[in-house]
Amino acid sequence: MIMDQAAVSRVTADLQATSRWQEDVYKQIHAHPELSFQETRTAALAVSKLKELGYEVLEGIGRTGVVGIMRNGEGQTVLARADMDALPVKENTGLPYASTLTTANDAGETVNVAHACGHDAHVTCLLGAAELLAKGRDSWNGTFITLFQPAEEVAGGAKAMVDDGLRERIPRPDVAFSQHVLAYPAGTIGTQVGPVLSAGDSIRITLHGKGSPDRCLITALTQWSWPRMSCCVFNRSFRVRRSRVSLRS
Amino acid sequence: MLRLQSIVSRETKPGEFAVLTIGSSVAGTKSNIIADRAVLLVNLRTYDMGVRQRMIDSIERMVTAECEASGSPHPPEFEYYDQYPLTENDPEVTEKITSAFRSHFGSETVFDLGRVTASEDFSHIPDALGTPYTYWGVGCIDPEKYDRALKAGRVQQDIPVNHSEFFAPVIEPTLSTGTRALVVAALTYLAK
Repeated sequence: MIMDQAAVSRVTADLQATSRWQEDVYKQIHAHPELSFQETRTAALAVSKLKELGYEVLEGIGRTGVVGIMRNGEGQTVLARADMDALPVKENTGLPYASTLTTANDAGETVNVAHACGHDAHVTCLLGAAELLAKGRDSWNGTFITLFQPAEEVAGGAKAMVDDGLRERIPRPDVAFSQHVLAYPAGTIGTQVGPVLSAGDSIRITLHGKGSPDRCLITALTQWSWPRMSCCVFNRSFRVRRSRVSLRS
Repeated sequence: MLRLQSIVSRETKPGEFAVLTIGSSVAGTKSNIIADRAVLLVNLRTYDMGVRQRMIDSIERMVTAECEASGSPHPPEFEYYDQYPLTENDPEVTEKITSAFRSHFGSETVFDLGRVTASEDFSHIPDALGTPYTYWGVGCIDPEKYDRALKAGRVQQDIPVNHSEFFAPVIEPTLSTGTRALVVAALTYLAK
């Protein structure tokens, strides 16, 4: 595959100007994190930037999701996605733009909130790319779709956008991308063919007994399971390197 | 619980990856009262949907049989929640993008990410659209700080990771790298 570096050079020529506002926007989003499905401020920021750049904007897909579409003639369609939500964590980085905010979670409890997963960087990078591609549209053709997704942290946002008719509301992309900031040296990029992130399932199992004097739960939980934990780890030790076990009572 | 752990040790083949965590087991509130129910919270991580289904089937089979063996008055209940899909990068797209990244950033800055022990819901979107995808990682730690930790063999201790209260990406070159990466990837398919 021969990549057209000339087109990339032309489009990224203006990166310095983009980087200047990106730093401010990043600090702003970082200091104003929003929990899953509450990303109204972040979504509004994306909407205003996309409109300013001439994107066709769809708002409120999957509650707070935003899509920006730039149609630029015949060609392929590319979708790039950024997630927007923050975590109920108290930031302790000591950064001058650290979050000091609290907010109400779905249960109505007041919790700290922080961009401890770096989604603020994802939003900022995608807005930056949206600007470079809008300004550099002479160098490419096709359709570029930016997608700002809510609620990644609760495994709900992508599905919410799909359930809200995303498929019918945007051109079908030929290819889709997403990226995540990770604890590797800045300036590096890691790629991986095939499975990259695990499927995750949580299961709540309810076991029924009759209560005292029923023996079911004593037998099932107390008498054999705790003492056998150690032998369980022993039996499994040959596989410790490729699978982890954690038992907490 | 012992039997559940045996799913990973005895029912997955060498080379198959699976993590089964029993994160919580709660029954009763007092030392001298036997509770009438117990609740286990189990978490599964897999990189293969076949392995995942086999593990789910095994968990249900074992727990149901143990309850029956213990004379439980009702069958156990299984409620699935916080479910994340597998993120499986399309080989052709990923190779194309990796080679574009190498040309743009230089080979030394593009590394093999390997499998990351985290989960994401992104793939719901391309899967629903019938679109191949790739998902990559962008480094965000001050390179000098990372290098010092690496030399001291203290990356795990000294470099806060995602979800930590101390997680603090450096603004540059993180943002410009992530921005360039998206532009390079898009132009790989859109450049004139």
